[in-house]
Amino acid sequence: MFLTDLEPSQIGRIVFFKGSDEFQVRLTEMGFKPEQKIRLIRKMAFNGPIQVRIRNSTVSLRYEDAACIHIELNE
Amino acid sequence: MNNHTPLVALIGNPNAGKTALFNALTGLNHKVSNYPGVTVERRVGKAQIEGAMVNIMDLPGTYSLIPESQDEAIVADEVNKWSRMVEKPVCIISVVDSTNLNRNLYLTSQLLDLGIPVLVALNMTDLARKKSLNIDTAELQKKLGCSVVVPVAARLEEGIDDLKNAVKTILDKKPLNKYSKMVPLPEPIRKAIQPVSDWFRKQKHFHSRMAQAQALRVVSSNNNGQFEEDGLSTLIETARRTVDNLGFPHSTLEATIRYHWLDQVVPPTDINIKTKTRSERIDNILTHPVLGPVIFIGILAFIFQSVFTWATVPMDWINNGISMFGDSVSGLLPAGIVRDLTVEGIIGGAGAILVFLPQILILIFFLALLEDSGYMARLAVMMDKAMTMVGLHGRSVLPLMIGYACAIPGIMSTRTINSWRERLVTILVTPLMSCSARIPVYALMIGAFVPAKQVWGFFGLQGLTLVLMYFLGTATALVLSLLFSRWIKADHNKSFIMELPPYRVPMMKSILRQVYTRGKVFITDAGKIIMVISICLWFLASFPRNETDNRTNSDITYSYASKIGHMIEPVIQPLGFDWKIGIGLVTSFAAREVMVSTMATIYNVEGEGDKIISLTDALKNDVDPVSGKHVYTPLVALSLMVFYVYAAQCMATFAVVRRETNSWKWPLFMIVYMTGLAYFASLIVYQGGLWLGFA
Repeated sequence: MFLTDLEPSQIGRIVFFKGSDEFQVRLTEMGFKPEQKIRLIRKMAFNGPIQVRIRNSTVSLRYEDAACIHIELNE
Repeated sequence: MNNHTPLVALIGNPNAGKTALFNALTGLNHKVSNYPGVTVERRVGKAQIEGAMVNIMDLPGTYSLIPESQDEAIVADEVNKWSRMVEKPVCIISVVDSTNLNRNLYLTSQLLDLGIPVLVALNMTDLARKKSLNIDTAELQKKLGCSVVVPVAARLEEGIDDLKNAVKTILDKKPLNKYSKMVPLPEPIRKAIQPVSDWFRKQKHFHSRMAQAQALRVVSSNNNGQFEEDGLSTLIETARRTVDNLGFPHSTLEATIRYHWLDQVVPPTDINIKTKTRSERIDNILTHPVLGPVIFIGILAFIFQSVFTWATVPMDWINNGISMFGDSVSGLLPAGIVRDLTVEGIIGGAGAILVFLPQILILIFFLALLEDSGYMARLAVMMDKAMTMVGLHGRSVLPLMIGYACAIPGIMSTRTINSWRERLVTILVTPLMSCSARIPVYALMIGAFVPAKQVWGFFGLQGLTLVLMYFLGTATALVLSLLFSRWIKADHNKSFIMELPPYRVPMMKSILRQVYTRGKVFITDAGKIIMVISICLWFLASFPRNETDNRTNSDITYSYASKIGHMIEPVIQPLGFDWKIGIGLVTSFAAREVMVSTMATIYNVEGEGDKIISLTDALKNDVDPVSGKHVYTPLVALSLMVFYVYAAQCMATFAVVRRETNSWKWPLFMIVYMTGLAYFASLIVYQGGLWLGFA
């Protein structure tokens, strides 16, 4: 499943992500990496940016970008 | 910069509190104007450290030395300069947010490899304490291998003395962490990048730790064009292939390796990811799909309303003060050219501008408040979808909002936009946002010609007219960006990743500091231009003097200014403007607010006696000598305001656009499109108004 499939308050674990090199580098630099826990805070209307909680910070990503991040549900 | 003064660099993530620390260290000892919004350029201030003078350099916030946008590239460029021993600092203060230590230390780990002593300033310790995060500074220092770790709370100015002491120790003792251990590399990776490290060690004389870090960076980063020297690109290509085969995609190699190390050394704080923060609860309201936009519009309306209503009291003080000053100067000087020049030219011209200072400061105050509270970042996220639809970017919101204060810092803050097309389009439309230099023109026209009536019991008609002008500029900016983005070539699709800082109560001290700095810059910079133009204009308006016996016409009708104005008049007559406004339009090319001082000088020269006259009254009472009708009607005022919404009138803006776009093409394009727009919009307003029967 993808990060965008999470519902608010649901927690996932990152599996891997695709996208341009720059995108992948920036995500990694901001602490996105496999096994990292991530919680969806909210989605904006009309597929606007989503907000997530990761490593004690709140990060916002465009919907299209978030759809490049593969996760699995953290049970 | 003095070569003998030691340099200390401040580097950190966005929102780590670098600027607050910079302000706490330097006081008001820095020259660069401090606009609300992010730091987008390097600036240097002076600090006294135990009697020694030290230059402190503040740099834009960045997550990494591999830059993603123009502002981050400034940090990377600066660091590259140091590796060539140019303006190398004696120590780096790595500013980290202690509530998010692990992520912030990523950049620190890159800085540790530079061979410059690194002082880690653990900022926001007050917030960390509240969250009961206890950080063992001695332990952290040992694990990182940095020179020293100092806990501070920059916004509360706590720990600043400790930090200064630590800097002093480094200045006295020199490098402490110079050759400490580098982030450990897995052996196969170290081997794979070894040829590249060797190249940097031999060719660039980097010490081994820095050579290895540099190798890691060039193998990771996508910047291929940069290395054409001596087979370096071949070495890099080989290393990349080897690394890829080892199962580490080369582009994320540096980040992966550093985080692997950091996660062991400083494990991510075990705050439960389920814990909902206070900011999230605030966001439930402020970024609510329906409430959010409503609140935003409410905030904007409130700001503009207060710019007009609150400011009237101090404006009256300034107005009265200037008249009294002019009168007393007039009493002191003997009648003649010197008195006329001082009272009518200088005091009259400069005074007309000074009156608008309260409105400008109120606007700056609110912008700083929104930025400092963390609201601006939410606005970028909230508006991103809408902004992308018109060809802009979520991060275009901040430049456009700053544009309400001044287009120049607005255009500079577009450096945070990582995609060129969106950045260029934002630059092209930012000057359409009504800046504070237009306030004097709007305020003059509204004050003189829009009745101070209440509408719907709450809004003043004057305030609403002002909002209408702002709306006109903003709406046009959005429509045009849609148009421009259609024909400007896109670079490949860029991402939008933005950290949302926690909401915090704005620090009045730092906000008032911004207001103070802006006020000072406005008075000195604008003052200089206005002073020179006012004096020149006074000469043009006063000479040649009326030598005939005919006293029915006032002196100004014989002047050079009048001749110039009458030459332009045919072109601007269809817009409802007379020759006096024509002179104002010409002088406005230097800066918009000069319009008001121009009118003030012209009317003062024209007026009888030596008293400084109220410009508002002068405009209201100006009667055409031939037709006997009022020169200014509400329709003329409206046409003039619309002209100022659009017209390209600020040379400084175009100089900045030239610098930011690195070509004359775009500033010239802006001058043409804005002037054309201004002319036709005013034409439609005036002729349309006449046709509808408004005189």
